[in-house]
Parts: sequence; structure tokens; C-alpha cells
Amino acid sequence: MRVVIADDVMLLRAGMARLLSDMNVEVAGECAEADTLLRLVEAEQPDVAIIDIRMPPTHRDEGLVAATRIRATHPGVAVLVLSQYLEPRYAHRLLADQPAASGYLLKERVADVAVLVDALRRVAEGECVLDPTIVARLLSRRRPNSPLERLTDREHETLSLMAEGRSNAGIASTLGVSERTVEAACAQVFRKLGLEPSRDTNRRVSAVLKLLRP
Amino acid sequence: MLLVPGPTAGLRHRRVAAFGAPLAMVTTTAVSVVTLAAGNALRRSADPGVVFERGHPLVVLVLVGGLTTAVAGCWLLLPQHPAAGLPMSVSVATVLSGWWAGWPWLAPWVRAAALALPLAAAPCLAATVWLWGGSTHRGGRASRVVLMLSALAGAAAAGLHLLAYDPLADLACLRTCRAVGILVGPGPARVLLIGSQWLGVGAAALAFGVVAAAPSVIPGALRGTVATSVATLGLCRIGWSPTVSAPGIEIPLDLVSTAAVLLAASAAGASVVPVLLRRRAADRMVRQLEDAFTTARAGQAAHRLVPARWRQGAHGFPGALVQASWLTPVQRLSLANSLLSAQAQERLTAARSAQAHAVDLADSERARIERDLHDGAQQQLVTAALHLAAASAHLPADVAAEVTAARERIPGILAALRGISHGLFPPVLEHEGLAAALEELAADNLGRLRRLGEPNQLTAIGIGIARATYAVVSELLETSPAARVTVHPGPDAVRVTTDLARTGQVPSVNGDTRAAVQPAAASSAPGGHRAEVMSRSTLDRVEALGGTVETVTGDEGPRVEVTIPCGS
Repeated sequence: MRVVIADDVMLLRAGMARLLSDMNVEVAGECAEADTLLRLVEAEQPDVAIIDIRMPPTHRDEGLVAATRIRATHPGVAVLVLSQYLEPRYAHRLLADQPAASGYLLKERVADVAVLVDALRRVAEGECVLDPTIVARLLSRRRPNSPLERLTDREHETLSLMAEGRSNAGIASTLGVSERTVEAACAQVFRKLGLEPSRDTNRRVSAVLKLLRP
Repeated sequence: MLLVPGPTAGLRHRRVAAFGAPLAMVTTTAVSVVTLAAGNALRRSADPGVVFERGHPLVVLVLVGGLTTAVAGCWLLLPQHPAAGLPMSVSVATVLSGWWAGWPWLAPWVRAAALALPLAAAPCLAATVWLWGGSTHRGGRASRVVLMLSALAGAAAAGLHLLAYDPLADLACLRTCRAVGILVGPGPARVLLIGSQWLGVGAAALAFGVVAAAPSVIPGALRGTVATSVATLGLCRIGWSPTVSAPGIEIPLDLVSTAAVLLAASAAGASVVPVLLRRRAADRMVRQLEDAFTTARAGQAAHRLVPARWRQGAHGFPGALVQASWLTPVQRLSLANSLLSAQAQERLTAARSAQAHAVDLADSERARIERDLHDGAQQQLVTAALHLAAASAHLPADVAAEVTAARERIPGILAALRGISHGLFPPVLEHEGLAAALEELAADNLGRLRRLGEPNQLTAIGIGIARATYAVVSELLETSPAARVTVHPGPDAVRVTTDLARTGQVPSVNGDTRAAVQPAAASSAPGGHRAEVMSRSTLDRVEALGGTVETVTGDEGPRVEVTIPCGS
């Protein structure tokens, strides 16, 4: 798997590159700002672009804007946005238009290389990945009259793990149940959220979007 | 410039001048007219020189009334001002002498003298006013009483003089005078009469001059009245003299009267017209000041609008101007009000801008700290975690476990830092504006936050107002957990209301901080506990923008209403 890294902190970039190299992920390039990132993606055509949300010049949401542009212009390149912001709004902005092959992780996840590589792999496979903390925060919001209120506890757990980007097998092992049970729970979630049967990946992404914006 | 010496004394004398003197004039006129009418109605004798029988009740009444008021006036004035009391007493004596002209059994020259003497009261009264007016520190109720009593005494004098003859039938009192023997042939009596008439007119003119020179006591209206009286008297003398056609009587054209009329008219013009002009200017200034209040620099505008010559004085601006004696009381009040409002407005503006500056400073400091946290501490912690992770891969298992344990504490620290930096500077508010930030708040507090109007109304407003609104809304949601908050964006102001009826809270926004909540007050406040609904820093934000925080108790229970103007 080939990735490019965009982060304005050089030490962090270098540390991440070193960790990823150790895990057999090829770091095809590094950059410190959004414009260079777009050129780098154009030149290298990586599998995934790892992007810090806050970059020069304004240190606001340049990374997010760049990620959306990459998803629009290079459908083959997945994006993983790293952020210090817990606000679900940013995740929603990232996933609203191009929900597939996008991820939004809190920055501290990069220290856990297994989680990072797992997320990279999933977005590269076209899934969407949300940080568990954000998912927890989303699920803690009370929503009267929302279809999410009709989910059972087990279906809730299934949906939150789905939002974190886990496969049915991963969900099954986390919950300690069989894969068939997870499949049934998933089917219930899709039905209750009113998602028409289509390609499985798309439905999973749609379910996450439902979570982001009921 | 006509200014009184000090605020307190000035106020007192203004009051005397405003009420006492006009009242005295009116009383004089009324008493004269009534006495004249009564004298005509009650006339019994065909002899113009003998008006009343001895001991007629009206005569006694007028005599007693005149005596009482005159003596009381002298008595009141003497301890207050001996110098003014003397001419006052003389004027009373001369006034009372007129009474004897009506007694037929007296020698004619005595009656003539009695008829002429009351006119000498005029210079005496003028001297009284002059001497009394010179000492402006004497005032108060006693002074007002003195003025009124002296006016009454003057009225009594005029009445007694009029009672002595029939002025309607004998306008120049020549027939009466002839009847009492004054004008029969030349002689000292005739000289005395004509001399006294000239003296009367001259004394009135002199009185007018004195009154005009004592502006602190006598307002312009009174001066105008006196001037008019003098002019009328002079005109009467001029008009009447040619009609006198009594045989053997020659009265020359009254040069003194003509001079008095001209003097009075020019003095009146010189005295009254400038006052009227200044009053008009003051009116205009008040209107301009009212227009200027809406601007931030109201105080400077006031200084510009008030001419320099009105700004002088020991008591500074606006004290000097509003004490000017030529202003009417209403003008004085409205001018003082305008000037004080202008000053208050300017001070308020200055205070608000200082408050806004403080809020701006705090905001930029918050932004700096947030940036330092985000780009410094947080990034370095992440980097440290990264390096620890990289290092632990190359360490022996037991050491690696310890390093991993250390690394796993870092996300907790980062979460704490994130909480701090969010509190300092909510990223959605700063990056995406108020509408988005309110949407997030609404999502976190479902069903409790309502926004009326169009969302694009919120995008146009400035960051200061947005921050204040956000701070208000998030604090209200936090401090009143069951209350519903409504945001009404409008063209002039953003209004935030909280309905506290369901929470049982008694809102309080006047305290210093939320920490000032008094647990003891919970039992004393019926229907709920008292709670601060807003912190001092949020109140500062609102007030710096000229906004208000009010607690309203309506039909549906207590409510907090925050209004943040966004026009200026």
C-alpha cells in the first residue's frame, strides 16, 4: 500500500513515515501544505492520502478542503483526515459528498500504528472510517423521533462498529458473536434506517451518514 | 453674559424671580383694577374731591390692608437688609399719605400734598429693589415674601391714590386737583403737582433701569413688563396733556415723558430682543443636541454646538450655561437634560469601547493560547506518542510494556487538552460561523435550542456578535438544563430568550459570577432556587456590544431575554 502524508509538523510526519515503513506501508511522499499535497497526489497516485486537517496558511480546515478535492478529482485515492477536532460536523463535511473511501480519525490514533494501518486498509478498500470517540459522541445524542431511537442495544453496537469501519467479521469478533448474527443485526439496522438494498459497502456508508446527520 | 454666582444661590433667586416678581406685578394690576372699579361703584359724593364718607367700610378695609402689608413687609425686610428696609419704610409712609387727600375738612394744600406724595413711593420702592437685589446671597422664602409684600404695598398705594379722585372722569386728575385748590393760580402747590408727576414718570423709568441692571433677580419677562408699563405711563402723559383745556392752565409738552418713553422703548429693545434671540438659539441647540445623541461622539458634538461664550464660568460646562438667567425654566431643564445626556452618552460609549477592547484583547489572547495548544502541546504530544510507539518496537518486551503504558496515557491528556481548547475557541464557530455553531449546539441539546428566521440572517453578522451570541446560548443551555433557548436573529439585533418556567429557576444576572450562587438563597426564594444564568465574561461580551440581559417574569413564568444589537 502506498500513502502520502500531509502535515505541517515535520517531526510528526517523519515519525509517522517511520512507523508506517515498519509496517510495510510505502510512504510515497510527504508535504506540509495543501497545494503541495494536491500536486503530490497527482504525481504519485497513492492508495491513501493521510491529511492533517489544520495546515497553513490559515490553520483551519485546509486539510478537509484538500481531502474533498482529492476525492472529487482522484476517485482512486482514498483519504484519511487526522484532526484534533471532536466536532462531528467536520466528519460530516468530509463524508457528505464522497462517503466512500474516506476516514476521519482523531490525531492521537497515529501513535497506535495497528489502528492507523487498519484504518488505512479500510479506506483503501472503499469503506468509511469514523473515530470511535466521535461515534460515541454521536450515539450519545438523544434524538426523539429519529429512526436511530428504534434500534436495539445490539443494533446500536453493530452500527457504531460499522461506523468505525469494521467488517462483519471484525464486528463479530469484537462482540463475541457469530458472523451470521452480525449479518442479521446489520440487516435490521439497514431496514430500520430505511436503506434500500444495494451494494453492501454503500449501505454501510449510508448508515454511517444517517448517524452523522439523522 | 448673565450668570448667577453659584448653583445654590442662583437656584433660589431664580425661584424668587420666577414666581415672586410676576406674581407681584399681577397682584398690583389686579388690586388697582378692583379698587378702581369699587371706587367708582361706591362713589357717593358729587364732589370729585370728596369720594367717601369718613369711616366707609371699604376705606377702612383698604387702609387696614395696606397698613398691614406695608408694616409686615418692612418688618420682614429690616432684619434681612436694613439698607433696603429704610426706603421701603419711606415708601410705605408716602403711600399711606394719599389717604388724607379724600378728607374735605383738611386744608387744600395738605390734601394736594397728600395726593402727590404717594408717587414718591415709586423711587423708594426702586431703591428698595436695588439695594435688596444687590445682595443676592440673601434669598429664600423670606425674600419672596418681601417682594410680594412690597408689591402689595405698591398696589395699596396706587389704590389709595385712585380712591382719592375719579380717574375715569378726570384722567389727568386736574379737576380733582383744582377742586382741592391746587391749581388755583400759580404757586407752590402747582409746582408740587407737576413736579410729582414728572417725578413719577422719571422714577418709573429709573425703577426700570434698576430692575434691568439686577438681572439675577428679575427675569426678562418682568423687565419687559416694567418697560411696557413705563412706556404706557409716558404715553398717557403725552396723550393726556394736550387734551387738558382747563382755562388758565398751561402744561408744556411733556419732554420728560417723551424721553422716558424713548428710553424705556430702547432699553426694552436692548434688553428683551437679545434674550429672545438667545432663547431661540438655545432652542435650536437643544434640537441639534437631540440629533447628536445617536452618534458615538455626543459629548464632543455638544461642545461643538454650544458656543464658546456660553461655556465659560466657574462651574464649567454645562453648569454655567444652564444657569443663565435668560433661559426659561423649561429651556433650562431641557438644555441641562440634553447636555447631561450627551455627556452620559459619550461616557457610555467610551465605557463600551473600553469593554469591547477588553473583550477583543481577551479573545486574541484566547486565540493565541488555543493556537499554542493546538500547534504546540497537542502536536508535540502526538509526536511523542509516535516516537514512543516506534521505540517500543525495538525494545525488550518488559521495557516495551512500560513504554506502551506511558504512551497509552497520552490520548487521555490530549482529550483533556481538546476540552480546554474547545472552551477557549469553539472551532466550528470560528471556522464556519454562528449558524453552523448553533446547529452543533442544537444537535448536542436536542429539542432545547430553537432558531427562528432564516439561517442566512446569521451568516451576515460580525464575529464579535457571533461570539457573544454563541457564549450566551451555550451558557444558557448549560446553566439551565431543562430550559428551552430560542434565538431570534433580526435586522437590528439578535435576541436570545430562555424560558425558565419548566426549570423552577429564579434567574439572576446581576451577580458577579456563577460561583456567587448562594445555596442559602434556595430556601428563601419561593418556587425554586436562585441561580446565576450567566457568567461575568459573557455579560461583558453582551454589554460591550451595547446589549442587555433582562429577566422578565411574564404569565408563563420567569424568562431571560438577551438582546445584542447588530446595527452599529
